[in-house]
Amino acid sequence: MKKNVLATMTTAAAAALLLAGSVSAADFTVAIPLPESGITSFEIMRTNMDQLEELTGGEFINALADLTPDGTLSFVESQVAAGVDGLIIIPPSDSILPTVTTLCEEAGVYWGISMRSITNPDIKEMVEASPYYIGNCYEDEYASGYNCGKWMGEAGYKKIAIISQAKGDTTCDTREEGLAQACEEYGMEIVGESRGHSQASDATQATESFLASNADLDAIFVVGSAVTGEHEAVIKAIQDAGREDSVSLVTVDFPNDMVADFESGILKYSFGPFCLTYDPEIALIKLVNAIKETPLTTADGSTVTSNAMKVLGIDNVEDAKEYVEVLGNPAYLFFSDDEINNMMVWNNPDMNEEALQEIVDNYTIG
Amino acid sequence: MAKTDTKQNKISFQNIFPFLGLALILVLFTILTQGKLFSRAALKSTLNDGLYILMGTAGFTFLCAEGEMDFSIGYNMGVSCAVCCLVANAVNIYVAVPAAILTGIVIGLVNGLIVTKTHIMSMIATMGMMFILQGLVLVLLNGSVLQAPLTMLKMYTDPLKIFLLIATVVLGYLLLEKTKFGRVAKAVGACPEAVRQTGINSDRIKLITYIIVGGICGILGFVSLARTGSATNSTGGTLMFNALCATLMGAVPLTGGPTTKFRGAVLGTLTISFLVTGMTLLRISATNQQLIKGLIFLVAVGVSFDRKNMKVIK
Repeated sequence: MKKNVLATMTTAAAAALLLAGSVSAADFTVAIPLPESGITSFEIMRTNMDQLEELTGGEFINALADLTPDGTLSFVESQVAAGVDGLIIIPPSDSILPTVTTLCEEAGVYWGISMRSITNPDIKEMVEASPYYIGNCYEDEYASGYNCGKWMGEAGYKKIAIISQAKGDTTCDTREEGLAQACEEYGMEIVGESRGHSQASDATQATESFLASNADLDAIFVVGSAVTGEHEAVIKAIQDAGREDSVSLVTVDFPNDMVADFESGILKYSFGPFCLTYDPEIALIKLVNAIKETPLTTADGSTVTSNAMKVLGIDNVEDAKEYVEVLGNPAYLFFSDDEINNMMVWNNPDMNEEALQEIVDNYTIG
Repeated sequence: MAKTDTKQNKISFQNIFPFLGLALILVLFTILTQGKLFSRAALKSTLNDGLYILMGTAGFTFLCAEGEMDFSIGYNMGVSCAVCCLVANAVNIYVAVPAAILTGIVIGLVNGLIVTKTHIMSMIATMGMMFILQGLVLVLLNGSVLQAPLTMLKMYTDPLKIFLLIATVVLGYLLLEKTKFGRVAKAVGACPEAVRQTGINSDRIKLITYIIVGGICGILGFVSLARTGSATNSTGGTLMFNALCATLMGAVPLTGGPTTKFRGAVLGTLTISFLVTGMTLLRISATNQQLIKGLIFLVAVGVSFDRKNMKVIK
């Protein structure tokens, strides 16, 4: 009996010690379903969120969530319950958005979308009618898929295998549509595909399978990845098979170890936003403006704004090194304090969707 | 004599452990969250998560009473959800609901037949079924995220959730504690041979239990689809662990027998659900949440596991 009581008390004490959090005393709180560490981009995100906290008086929370429909809804429900004032989500499919809209409207929580666009017109109309939806930030996914396909076509590749997310993931589906267009134009064939990986070893198995069944494979194209270390797993499997001279790796979104990957001679081309978390940074700036009741507006006065992120391609180790020199630093700030203040409508009434888009389009790293 | 006293103390502690655990969680988090644990939004979040856990735990409790196990409940829910989504798109949303429940029942029936007819240990048999269902859901969804008709989302209402919650508690309690079926189920867990010698077909009892658990998974498949509007290969992935955690927090003995109480399922569910909500309200990171749940899981196993009557879990 005593032992049992002791065990219970020990657990309670341990739990209490681990309760690092506390009820927030900030002006407002915002949650985002991304981790604060793991890869450099996430660490950069945290650095920039700290800057936003200082400049806006809010609290910015990394509340890691599964980016599945269930996981995203649980994230929204639990953060709404925790009393946040704003949310950024990265929806895996459009179908959860009506529920998110209802939950946020009931609780009076502003929310926006990062890295995604709403493709279903009915859902888009429903969501955009909500006064609490602030809009989205996105990359041109079709162009991403097409550009990678075009690069492979111009390099003379004919047979490629793809690693992607499960069908229904709107981002990867759109990238694949762009790829299909390039395949048609350049006479390329997709000879294998593997989807929905949950760990790096899944990529190893997929690559081994592609290599074993396609003696004349030219490239493995990672259309979209949600797994840390996936690109490196593909490279290792190609090296282990002794096919590094004939099989290349092409990716959308820059791998975390991009320099080493280019140096291996296997990664040949990578295309994506210059930093994975620049998109959520812009989404957070839009969200804070809405929470402070000075939302950004479009030319026709709507408070639902949509901003396309700048993307670029890297195809050599020198450019990769130059890029990593700047964005390999977890303390990298996207904007100076003055620039952030200038993007807040309460400081700068001229700031709107168009002005923000101009900032995004003209942004240079460094 | 002293040994008997110790055993009584042990049993007594097992009885109070679920109440103690729940009280501790409620008091601790009420203080730390300054009462936000009982805000409307927090209670709604607890209800949403708790519904899945309670229904899963209720099924687990019946199996535990018989000393059996089902590791496939999460993927049974996933397959049922996929079937529900396919039928909703191909026929209509009203036919989709019975289709989901029927799918769950069929999977439960197969589990039950494997366990009772082949005498493969339930832990192994249902683990095998789990892998089959993992593959099946990928085949059904063609490796994709399938969207349900938008009208399906309107079915996920508070009255539906509350009805399911109350129905689970009332029916579960009556069935396990007040009917011959429940008494025999516990007896099967205590000593199946003795039950067999009294002329009761213990395999039939187990088969019915697996069918009930399958039906519960089918309902959860529908609930998940109505909640998210999507069927994916990750649907139901966390159900098994959460239900097992709640079962243990409710001090339901995995070895089965007459000490199994349905109240354990309810108390365990409340404890886990409020724990998760409380930790989220306190902004505890996902990593620390896992750590705390793991610690509590270990203590719960230590307290609830009946070593005196330990036998191999079938």
